[in-house]
Amino acid sequence: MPHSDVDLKNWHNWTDPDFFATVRQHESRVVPLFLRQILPARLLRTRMTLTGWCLIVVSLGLGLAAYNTASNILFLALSLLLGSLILSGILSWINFRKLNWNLRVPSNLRAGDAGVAEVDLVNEKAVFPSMSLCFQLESEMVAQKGTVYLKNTLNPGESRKLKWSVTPQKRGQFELRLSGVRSQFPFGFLQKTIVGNLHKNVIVWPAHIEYIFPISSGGQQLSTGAVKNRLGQGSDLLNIRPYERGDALRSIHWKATARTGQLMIRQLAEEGESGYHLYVHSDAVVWGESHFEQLCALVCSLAEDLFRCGRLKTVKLNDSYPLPIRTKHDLHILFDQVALLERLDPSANAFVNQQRNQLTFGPLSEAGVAIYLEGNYAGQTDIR
Amino acid sequence: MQAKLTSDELHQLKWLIGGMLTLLSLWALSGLDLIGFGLNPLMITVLCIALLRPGWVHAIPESFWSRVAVPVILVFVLIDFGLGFTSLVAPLMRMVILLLVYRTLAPRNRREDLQMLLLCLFGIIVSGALTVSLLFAIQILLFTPVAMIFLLIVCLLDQGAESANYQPSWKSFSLEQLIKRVFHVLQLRAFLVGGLLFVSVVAISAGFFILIPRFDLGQTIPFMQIDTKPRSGFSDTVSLDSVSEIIEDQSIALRIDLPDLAAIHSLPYWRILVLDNYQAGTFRLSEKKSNLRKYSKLREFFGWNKGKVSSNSRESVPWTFYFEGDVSQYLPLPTSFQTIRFTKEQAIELLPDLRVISLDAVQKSAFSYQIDDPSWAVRAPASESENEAFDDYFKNQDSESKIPLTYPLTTLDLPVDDDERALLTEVNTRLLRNTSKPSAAEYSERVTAHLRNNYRYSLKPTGIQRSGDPIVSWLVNGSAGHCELYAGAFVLLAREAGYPARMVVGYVGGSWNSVEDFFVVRNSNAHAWAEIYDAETDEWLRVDPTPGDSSADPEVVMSVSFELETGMWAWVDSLRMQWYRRVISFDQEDQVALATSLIDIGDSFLDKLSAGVEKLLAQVKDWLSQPLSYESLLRVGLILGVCFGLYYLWRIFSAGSARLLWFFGRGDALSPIRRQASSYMQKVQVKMNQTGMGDAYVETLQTLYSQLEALRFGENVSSQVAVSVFKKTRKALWQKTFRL
Repeated sequence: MPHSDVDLKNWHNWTDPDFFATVRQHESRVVPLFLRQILPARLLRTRMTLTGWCLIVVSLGLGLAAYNTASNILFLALSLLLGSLILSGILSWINFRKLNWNLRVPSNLRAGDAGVAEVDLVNEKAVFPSMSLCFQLESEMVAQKGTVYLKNTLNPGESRKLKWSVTPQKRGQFELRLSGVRSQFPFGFLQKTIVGNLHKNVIVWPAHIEYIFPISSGGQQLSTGAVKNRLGQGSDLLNIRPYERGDALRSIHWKATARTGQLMIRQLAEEGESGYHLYVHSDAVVWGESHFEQLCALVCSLAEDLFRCGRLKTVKLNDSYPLPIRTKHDLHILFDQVALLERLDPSANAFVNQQRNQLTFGPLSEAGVAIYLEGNYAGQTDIR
Repeated sequence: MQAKLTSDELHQLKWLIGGMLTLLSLWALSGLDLIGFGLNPLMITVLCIALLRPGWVHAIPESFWSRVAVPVILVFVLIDFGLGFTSLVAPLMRMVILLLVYRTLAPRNRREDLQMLLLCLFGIIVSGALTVSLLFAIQILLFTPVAMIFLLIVCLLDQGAESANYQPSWKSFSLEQLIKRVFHVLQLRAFLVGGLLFVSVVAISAGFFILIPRFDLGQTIPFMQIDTKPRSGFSDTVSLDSVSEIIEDQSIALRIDLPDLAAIHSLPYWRILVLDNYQAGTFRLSEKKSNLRKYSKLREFFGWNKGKVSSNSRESVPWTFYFEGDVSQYLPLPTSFQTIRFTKEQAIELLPDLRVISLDAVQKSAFSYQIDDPSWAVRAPASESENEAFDDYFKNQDSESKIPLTYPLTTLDLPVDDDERALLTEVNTRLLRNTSKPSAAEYSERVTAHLRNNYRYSLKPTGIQRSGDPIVSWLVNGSAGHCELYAGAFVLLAREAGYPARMVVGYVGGSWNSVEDFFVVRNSNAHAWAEIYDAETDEWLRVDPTPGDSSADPEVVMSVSFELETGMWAWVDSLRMQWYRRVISFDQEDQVALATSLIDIGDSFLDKLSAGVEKLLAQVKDWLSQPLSYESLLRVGLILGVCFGLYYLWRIFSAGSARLLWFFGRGDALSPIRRQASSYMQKVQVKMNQTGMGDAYVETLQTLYSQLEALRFGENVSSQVAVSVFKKTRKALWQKTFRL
């Protein structure tokens, strides 16, 4: 059984590891089970606003005056105020009814760059619009909590995307939470907040930094007449394979696609010039905290630039297998891994084969990072 | 895509609606007639100009409001309160008006919006509570939706800290353009939903009004008291012409809720005040400190000691009087009555000798009271003290003792000079020719006939000279006069002839509102007449010497007919009566009566229901026990026909509701075709899952299923197409069922 909006939307996603689990959230304790039955699915908090307190005070004053003077005029005014309060409650309930929302995290988010998180809002009511809604978003990647307002009314059947611009300050994996949906609709007497537990994980890639390294001219070149049987970004067609997620659109072989009925990708032989192999070893002894963040940023920036020039072969992070970077998707996987990279204990050192065009990194003074090509100094971060 | 108002337009709309609320409140406060200084009309004018030209107001620099307007208002309010410390209400209302206008015109954020709204509400409620006018109902019913729209806009504009102090641009503002935009954005649907919500809030409020428990606390604190003055014709001192001035006013003074028009058997004289003292054309009530008055605080008063209505002629239904404010502190009463009741414990002054009841002050708003068994007999028994005083006086008449000026002997006092007295004596001598001293009734008839024959009725009297007693000079020189002169002349002549006599002011007659069936007495019914003491019967005899339909003989009671009020104004007035009946007078007793009647209705409904069910069961039982016949089969057929008819009615209703939903913009998702398709899809799915079906049949079902899917999720199709698919589906499901 789906338990939330997210589950409902992903009910057919069999790649979810929990998909085949018969009971996804097993609760055998009696009291929590009982409470789960009687408590609302969404926790609702209602708070009086200044207007609401004024209404209460005015109503109390009117009530006292009405009873003491036996004036039906005052009873009439009191009745209207109470009627307004009741109507306010009903309209507020209607405002939230059949209103669904989902959180969409920003993709390809880099530290220091602005990204946009989105709240997808759908009003599934038949008659009444929804309005005056405020979504509270929060995440550790930014210092302040975010508030997104629904401007104008959301008519029945209408949907809208509310955007929250975030600029993360550091790399890593963070949780983006929609902590509550608040509304003072319709008259501002009450502030209702639906405390939600909607959260999504977002990976923030390291920031792009400036560095000094001769990308196009550096490294060893292949000799003339050498057989180019390795995949690369050259111009000779080597093979055709089915499309995979992340393949560039320009790589699609349209004739083969038309013949086979499915998207086919051209695989080209590598260019004459050789690519680089990046090796990153995050030894905690070698890398201080500030140096390490610079290293992560440098690795991502260098890998991206090398990929764009078609000169990136593989990237090896610590003792993992070298990750071949053939497509943008591979590059993004690398960024994800670097975003989550941590400094390792010295015991985790692994033996590494030196290979041709291998780039390694070492700390430099003042939080700078040096780039070594096959053990020789070849460049560094720009520490101007 | 539906057009929406921009943030600037919403801010502008909010400002204008705020101004309208203030205007509404100022209108309500204008009903108090105590603001003074022409402040209210001035502020209304200022506000109207501001609403028509908001750009002018917003061109005023913000510093003006804080540095100039606030100190000026503060100084004005302090001086006003300082000068008018004896009456706090008027300065308070002036302060409210100034604050309201300031708050409306000065730039404001959310907090100030709220302050303005509360001030508006305060103004309307205070005005309503003080005037108890039907206008309050209209004002509060206008205020409620406008205030709700205002709060809704405030709520919509609440977009965090940035929006809190946002001020829209007014440079290119056009009121006409904004109104057009609002009507363009607001669809008919919004108006309908808004109207529905307004009706529901009124219904909920009406429910609250009825259900809020009323406790009879016994003692109640009066709401703010406002000093107001009575009509000069109905005050303790009545000079000539003051009653006649009231006659020119056509407004309603008294509404009476009585069982039937036939309950008024004779021309009703509504006695407000009896004036015993006379001095140079002015009739007065005896001094306040005299024994004439008895102060009391009571809720019910069981008539006067003498002259109660006999138990045989008593009626069970009380008469409810609604006496308008600003008229008099003395209540209009019939000659006699059994009981008078007030809605709460009331401070009153009883004047038992005069049969007059006075409130502690002139009411600003309508005052209601109930009277049991009223009577307009021409004679009313005099009190014991009156009889004793007159007996003593008549016995010692020959002695040369000076007449003391205390009631009731003030009714014999004739403060005119000798020449005037001689003139009065001459008239009396002519009237009493050949008779030594006739009875009071006979004397009254002669004087009335004399006055009616020699003078004509006119609101512009003639013959009154500046010097001397005005009534005597009118008697000598005049030819036309009004009721006060007729009654005054009668009183002076009677006193000169030795009959105790007094002037009575009040109303006579009235009309019948046939829209809502209640009796109406207008200020134009104001009248003055006289009462003469009949020493033979120890009674006061009512004498109305003013020319009219009545007989000159005071003992003769003429049949009476009243004017029937119909038309629009009668309808408007009936609304006021409903307002008094249903709202202002609603109390604990009404609540109990309402609850009892609801219980009775519920009981009666349940009784009828259970009787109906029992009858139906008996019929079914009877039908089952009888052998089958054409008649019984016909009945079954008829019942089935009715059932089918109901089913098709329900289908038509569904189609109607679908159209309604389409109107509200969600027709596609909830159309009956889609719902029906969904229902059939489930049935076909169940059927397909059953085993033992032939391949051809399953294939047919699959084809139908895909067609139903298209109906359910695809584009809109005509009902003919859908009906054909549904028919095929029904047929397929039906056929196989029968085969199995």
